[in-house]
Amino acid sequence: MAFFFFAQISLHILGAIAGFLFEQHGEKANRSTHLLASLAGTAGVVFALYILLTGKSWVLEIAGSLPVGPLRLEADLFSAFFLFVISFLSLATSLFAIGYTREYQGKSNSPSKNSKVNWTSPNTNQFPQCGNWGNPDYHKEKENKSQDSPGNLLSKENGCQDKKNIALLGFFYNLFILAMLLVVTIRNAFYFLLFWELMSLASYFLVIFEHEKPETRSAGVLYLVMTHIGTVFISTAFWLLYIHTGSFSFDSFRAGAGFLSPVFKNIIFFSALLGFGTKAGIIPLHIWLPKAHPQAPSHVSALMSGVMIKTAIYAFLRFLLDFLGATPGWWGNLILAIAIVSTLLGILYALMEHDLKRLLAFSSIENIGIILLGVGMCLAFKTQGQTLYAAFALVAALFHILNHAVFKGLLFLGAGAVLSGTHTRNMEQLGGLIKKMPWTAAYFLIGAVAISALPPLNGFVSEWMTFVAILLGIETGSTGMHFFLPVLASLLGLAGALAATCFVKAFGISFLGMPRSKHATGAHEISGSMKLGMGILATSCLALALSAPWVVKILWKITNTFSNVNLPMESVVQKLFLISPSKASQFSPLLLAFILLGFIFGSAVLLRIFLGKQKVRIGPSWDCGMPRLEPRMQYSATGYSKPLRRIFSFLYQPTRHVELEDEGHELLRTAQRFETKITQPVDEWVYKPLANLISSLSQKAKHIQTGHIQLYLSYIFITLILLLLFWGGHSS
Amino acid sequence: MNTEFVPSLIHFFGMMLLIVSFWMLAAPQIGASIRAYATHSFLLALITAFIALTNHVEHLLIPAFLTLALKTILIPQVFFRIIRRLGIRKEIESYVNIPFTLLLAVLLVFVSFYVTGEGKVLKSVSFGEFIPLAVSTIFFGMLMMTTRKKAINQVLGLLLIENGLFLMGVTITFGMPLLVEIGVFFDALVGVVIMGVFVFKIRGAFESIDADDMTVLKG
Repeated sequence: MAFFFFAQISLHILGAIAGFLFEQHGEKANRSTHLLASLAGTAGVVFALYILLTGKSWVLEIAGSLPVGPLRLEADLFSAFFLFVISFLSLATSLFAIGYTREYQGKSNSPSKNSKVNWTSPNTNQFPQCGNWGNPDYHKEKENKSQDSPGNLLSKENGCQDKKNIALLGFFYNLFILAMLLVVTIRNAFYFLLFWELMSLASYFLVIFEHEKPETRSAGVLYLVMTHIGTVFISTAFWLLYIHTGSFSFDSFRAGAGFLSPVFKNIIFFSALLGFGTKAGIIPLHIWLPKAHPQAPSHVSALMSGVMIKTAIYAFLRFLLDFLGATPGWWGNLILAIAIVSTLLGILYALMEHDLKRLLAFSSIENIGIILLGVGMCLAFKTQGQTLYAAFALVAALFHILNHAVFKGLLFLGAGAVLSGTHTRNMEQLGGLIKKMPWTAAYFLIGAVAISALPPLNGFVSEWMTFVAILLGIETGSTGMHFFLPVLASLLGLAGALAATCFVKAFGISFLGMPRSKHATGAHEISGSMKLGMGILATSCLALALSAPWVVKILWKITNTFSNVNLPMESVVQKLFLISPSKASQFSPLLLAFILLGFIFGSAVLLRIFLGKQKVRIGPSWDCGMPRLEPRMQYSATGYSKPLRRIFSFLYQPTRHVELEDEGHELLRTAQRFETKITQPVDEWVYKPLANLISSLSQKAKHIQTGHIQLYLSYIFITLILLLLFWGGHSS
Repeated sequence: MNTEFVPSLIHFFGMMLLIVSFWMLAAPQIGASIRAYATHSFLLALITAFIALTNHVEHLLIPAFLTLALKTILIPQVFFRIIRRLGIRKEIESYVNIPFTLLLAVLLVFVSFYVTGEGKVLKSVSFGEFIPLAVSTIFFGMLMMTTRKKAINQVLGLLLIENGLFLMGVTITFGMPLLVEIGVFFDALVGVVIMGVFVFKIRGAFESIDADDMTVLKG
C-alpha cells in the first residue's frame, strides 16, 4: 500500500515540474499540472482509506547524516485521517482548477484563441480577462479607457492581456499540497518545522499570485508576518521539548511526556496554542486569514481554508494528546473560552461581509472555533478521567474537521465559480445567478445548507455531536462547568443560527432575485471540470451525513490510539444510530433523511390528490403598481444584515456617513451617498496599539543611529572596554 | 652583550613604544602623526628583532624586517603622497581636544594594565608588560578612530591597532606562523592602498574627506 503514498508524492513532484515543460502560460501546462495533482489526490485517498479501514500504520525511516535524527515518516490512523482530508479535498480542487485557471490564460470560456491579435482591436464589450477579478470599478475603468488616447489604450490593453504563469501556479500548488502531506506524516520536530515553513511559503506565493493588485500584496505581507510570528512560537514549543528530551523525534517527546515539570508544560502549551492558533486563525490571531484567503486563486482558498488551517489543529492535537501527557484542567477551559469567542465573532464578522470570499474566510474562523470546542471538551473530560466522553468529544472535533473541509471547500469553489462567471466577488453586484449558473447555484446551496448545520447534510451531524459533547459535560463536570456549559451550548446555538442567516444572505443575495450589475447579467456557467470538482464535494456532503455511523466508527478507532484502551464502539454507534455515550439522545441521519424525503414526497402526493391536476400559470411578479421592477428595489446585502448590525451594535460600533447633494435647497436633492462601516475591535484594541508601540520604539532606536562613522566605532570601543573591565579583570 | 643588558633594552623600547603612541595622539598635525607612526613601527621592528635574537626564534626576523620595510618606510610614504595629492589641511581636526585626548589615553593605559594584570587569559612568554602595552596600543588606535574627523586619521588608527595586534602576537606566541604573519603584512599594505583609493573617492563624492559628511548616506 505504501506504493500509493509514494505515487502520491512523486505525482505531486511531477505535477510541480510538468507545467514548465510546456508553454508556461498555456492550456497544456494547466492540464498536466492539475491532472497530475488530481491523480496524486486519488492515490492519496486510496492510501489513507486503506490505513483507516485496516488500521495498519505505515512507517518509513530514512537515516540522514544530519545531527537532528532520522527522517521518519509515519502514517498512523490519526495521520491517515488528515492525509485523507488533504488528499480528498485536493483531488476535488485540482479538478476544479483545470477549468478555473483557464481564466488566467487570458481567454475566457468563450474561446478567442487569437489573444495576441486581440489588443490591436480592443473590444470594449468583452469581459475582463485577467487580473481584474473582484474589482468592482472595473467597468468604470473600462469606460474611461475607451476615451483615452489610442496609444494609451493599446498599452493598457496589452497590460491586461498579460497572461499569468500557469506553470508557476501549478508548481506552488503541488508544492503546497506536498508540504501539507509531509507535515501530517513527519515524526521529527526539525523536519516538521522545515515542511511547516515550506507549506507557509508555498501558500504565500499562491496568495500573491495575482500580485498586480496592491491589496493582494499587502495581504501577502500580513500573512507572511503573522505566519512567522506563529512559527516563532511553534519553534519555541519544539525547542523546549528538545531541551527536555535531547532528541527531535516525536517518539522521544511522547516517552518523555511524563517527566515534564508543570511550569515547563504550561510554557510549551502556551507556545503551541499561540503558534498553531495563528495558523488556525483563532481570534485574536486571525487577522491575516480574512485578508489572505480571499486573495488566493479560489481553488487555493478552498485548500487553505479547508485543510491548511486544519494542519494546525493536527499539530496542536499531537501536542495535547501525545507530547504533553496528562493535562491540567484549565487548559480545556481556556481552549473552550477561545473557541467560543472565535465561533461567535467569526460568524458575526462573516455576516457583515459583502465580499463572498471574505465572508467564507470569516466563516472558517467560526468553524475552527467549533472544532476547538470539541478539542476543549475532550481535554476537560480527560482531566476528569471520563475517557469515553473525551473520545466522543474528539470524534466530534475530527468529524467537523472532515465536514468543514468538504463544505468549505465546496463553498470556496462555488465562490470561485461565481468569480469566474461574473468577475466580481462583491455580493452587491450579483443577483439572479440561479438562472445563468444553475449548477453553481445548486452546489452552492448544498454547501450553504451543510455549513448552516441543517439536516440531512453533514454539518448537522458533527455539530450535533459537538452539542452532545458539551451537554455531556453538564452531567459530569464541576459546579463551574454546570453553570458555564449550558451558556456555551446556547452560544453555540446562537452561532449556528447566525451561520444560517449568513448563508441565507450569501445565497439569497448572490443567486436569487434580479441581476444587480452588468457583471451578473453577463454571467456564464462554468466548465465541465469545475462542475466535476464541485460535484464530488457536494455529493460527499450528503454521503458523509448518510454514512455518519460508519464514519464515526472509523474516527472512534483513531481516538482509541490516543486513549490506549479499546473503548466500546457500541456506546456511540448502534446500527444506523449515533448515540450520545450517556444514552440521553440518539439520532440516525439516514432515517432522518428518509423521513424528510418521505415528508416532501408525501406532501407532494397529498397536494396532487387534493388539488388535482391544476395548471401552473407563469406570469410576471406583482410589482405593487410600480411601473416596473428594478434590481435596485431588492434587498441589498447591507440591508439584509442591518437588523443584526443594530442588535450587535455594541460589538460592531457601526459608523455611518451620509453625503447629500442638492441644488441650493434641500428639496432639490440631486444625489445622496451613504456609507457604513463597522470597526474591528481586535484591530483597534490589540494590533493598532501594538503597531504604534513598535513604531515608537523604532523611532527611539533611531536616535542612536546618527550615521557618524566615529559614533559607531565608539559603540564598539566602549563595549569592548566595558566587557574587558567586567570579565577581563576577574580572571585574576 | 650580557644577559642583563638586552632584556632591559627591550623593556626600554617598550616604554619608548608607549611614549611614541602618546606622541601619535598628541601630534597636532597629520605629518607629525605619520612620523610618529613610522617611529612606532620602527620600535616595533627593533623589539621583534631583539626578541628573535635573544630567544633564538630566527624566523621572527623576517616579520621584523617586513615591519621595517613596509610600516616604517613604505606606508608612511604612501600617506605623505596622499596628503600631497589631496592638498588637505595639515592640522588634525578632532572632536576632543588634544589635552583631553591625552587624559583619556592615560586612563586607557590604566584600564589595559588593570584588565590584563596577572591575566590568565593572556599569558606572555617573555615580557610581561608587553601585553598591557599591546592592549593600550589597540585602545589608542581605537581612540584615534573614534575622535578624529578626517578619514585619513581613521586609517592611521586602524594601522595603530594592527601594530598593537602584531605586538601581542609576538609577545604571546613568539609570533604567529610565518605564513600568517606575512599574510597580515600584505593585508595591511593592501588595506592602506585600498583605503587610500577610498579616501580619494570619498573626496570625489563629498568634496571633502570629512567622515561627518557621510551621514547623508543614512537611510
